[in-house]
Amino acid sequence: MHFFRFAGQFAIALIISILGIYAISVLVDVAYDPTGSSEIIQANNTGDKMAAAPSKQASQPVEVAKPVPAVANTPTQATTPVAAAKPKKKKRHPGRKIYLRKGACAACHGRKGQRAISYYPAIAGQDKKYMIAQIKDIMSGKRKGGIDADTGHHRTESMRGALVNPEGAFRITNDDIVQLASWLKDLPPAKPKIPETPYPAENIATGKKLFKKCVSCHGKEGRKPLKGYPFIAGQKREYIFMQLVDIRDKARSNGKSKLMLPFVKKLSNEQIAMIAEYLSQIDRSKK
Amino acid sequence: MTKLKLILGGALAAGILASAPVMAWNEGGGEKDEATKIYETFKKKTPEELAKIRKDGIAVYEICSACHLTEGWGSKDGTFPQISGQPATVIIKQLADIRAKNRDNPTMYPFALPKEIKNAAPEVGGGPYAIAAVARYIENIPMNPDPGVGAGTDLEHGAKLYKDNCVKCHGENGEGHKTKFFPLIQGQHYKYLLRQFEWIRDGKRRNANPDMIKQINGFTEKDMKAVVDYVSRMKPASDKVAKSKDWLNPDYD
Ligand code: HEC
Ligand code: HEC
Ligand code: HEC
Ligand code: HEC
Repeated sequence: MHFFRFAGQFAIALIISILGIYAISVLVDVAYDPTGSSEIIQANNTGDKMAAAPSKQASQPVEVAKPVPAVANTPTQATTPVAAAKPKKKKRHPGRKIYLRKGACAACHGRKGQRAISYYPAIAGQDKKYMIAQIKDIMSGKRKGGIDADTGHHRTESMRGALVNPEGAFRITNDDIVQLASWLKDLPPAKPKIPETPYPAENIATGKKLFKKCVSCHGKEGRKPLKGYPFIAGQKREYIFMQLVDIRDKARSNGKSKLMLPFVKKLSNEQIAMIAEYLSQIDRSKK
Repeated sequence: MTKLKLILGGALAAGILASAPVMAWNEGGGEKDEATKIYETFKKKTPEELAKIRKDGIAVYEICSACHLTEGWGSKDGTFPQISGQPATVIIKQLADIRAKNRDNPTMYPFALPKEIKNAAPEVGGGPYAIAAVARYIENIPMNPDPGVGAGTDLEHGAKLYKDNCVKCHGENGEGHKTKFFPLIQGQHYKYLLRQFEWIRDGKRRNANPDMIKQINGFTEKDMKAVVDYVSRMKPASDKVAKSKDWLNPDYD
């Protein structure tokens, strides 16, 4: 009797230690990730925000007792004269505020929609109508996407978790979405992400050739899509790759993605990778 | 034969009973322990050094603030928890748990990774120091004076349940216990508390404390709502709370 209970506990302990080792190996992986594939969200804009710090001291419960000197007197501060040169506040688009606060969008897509984290897409300068449709589809669960190997969830779940509350209610309104999209569409698109070792020229050439079938909808070099269709030039390589695989394998089947199916159905992963390399290096800010 | 089994079993059990629960709930090692150690060294720093640590905390926290808000107050609907005022040790442990996927949180997951923390504030880096610095910054942000609360219809029952079942770990007033990694729960948003309580009860939160699970075994839906409503209304010490519900964190603007 007892023995079986012990044996059971042993099994549990074993599983726990295996999980532990796995967790550690994941950690190690992450800690030594040499690709550094994601970009920066400006957290180091030390300019004006630090200057406000001293006034904070009084309301800091634990720190009041200590005579902490003004944070503003740091070397970084002294060497950034940006703050002083700023002109007086101009009127800001209401979409910006929703983006930065209520929508929490900046965490994942960057403060100006250009420097998204991880494989997440850049959205600055994207088509307005397209964005409205995608945001709604992601919130409602119509757009799912493939499984994120790290979290074990559909890749759109991270965004859904921020925009749909635990009881299933939407945290931003239809009006908010329209405001967001109309602010984002006019922002300058991200610059292409240059890889540490350039993609092989043959890949780019093959990618370019394969892209010929796509021009009718996405425009020359992916810069001039039909109305309501997405810009894809200069998007992140990983993201383009994943979307093409998802659309091909029907993991993404929302909106108009079915229209595209015949054009991607026969593409191999290798071909898709080359298209993604080609598109990711096109600079939309240049004519 | 039976004797051997018993001896074997006994030996195994002794080892496992001693280690298994602790291991599962608060596994030692790695980044978490390092960050906790670094945090401990902050106690001996000079005011100048502390000012630098605070500045680094502000730089890292900017990325967190996109969801938890610059005030760290989270949202009443329970999507984002309040994290301001939480002891640094607990913050460090929760970050490690989210990273290790002991908490199922696809939304926050990447932000618990050293890689993203480093990208967010390259001058601070993404290692244990950055985590210790941001945890210290967060624990000192004034808390929300106006959190989301429950219906308020069953508070006496809630108070009694709290006294009988929760005080020994979460403290008389929900203030938690720093060195034991018991979270502060006073004044947390009701809907967030309710969700976490349910997830702990149902095993969905894999880092839950096994003794807490035992303690709340048998709680009905009504009990759960009553005790959590009571907790959401507990008032933190006045020097931990912002003067007004309209307070905005002046470190960011
Ligand atoms: C927690 C992270 C996160 C947050 C917060 C977030 N997003 Fe996203 N968003 C994503 C991810 C990840 C994807 C891509 C999903 C995929 O791979 O299929 C995405 C996709 C999108 C897309 C579609 C892009 C395309 O090219 O198809 C738009 C538009 C978008 N997000 C806008 C927003 C806006 C506006 C907000 C704020 C209201 C927001 N997102 C908040 C993570 C996030
Ligand atoms: C018949 C028109 C059409 C053709 C041809 C077409 N696409 Fe698309 N593509 C679309 C539409 C429409 C969408 C947006 C789907 C939606 O509404 O969700 C899209 C989406 C995409 C996306 C995802 C964009 C994002 O931001 O998430 C990529 C990448 C893409 N297409 C690449 C290609 C490539 C590469 C080809 C050629 C092999 C191609 N498309 C051919 C219409 C087309
Ligand atoms: C994209 C949004 C997002 C960002 C950015 C984010 N978090 Fe979170 N965080 C969440 C969500 C959502 C939860 C609640 C998870 C759950 O329900 O289990 C959470 C939970 C937590 C918790 C656990 C709180 C508790 O009491 O259980 C801590 C601590 C925390 N976050 C700290 C941080 C820190 C530090 C950062 C920055 C390095 C950060 N978060 C960035 C969304 C975010
Ligand atoms: C044996 C000690 C113990 C008892 C008794 C206990 N808890 Fe806990 N509780 C914990 C620990 C430890 C955690 C944090 C687990 C972890 O590390 O994630 C926790 C977490 C929580 C959380 C999640 C907090 C957060 O910020 O994520 C809530 C809510 C909670 N407890 C409520 C209660 C209530 C209400 C009671 C009484 C009915 C109770 N607990 C009894 C130890 C206990």
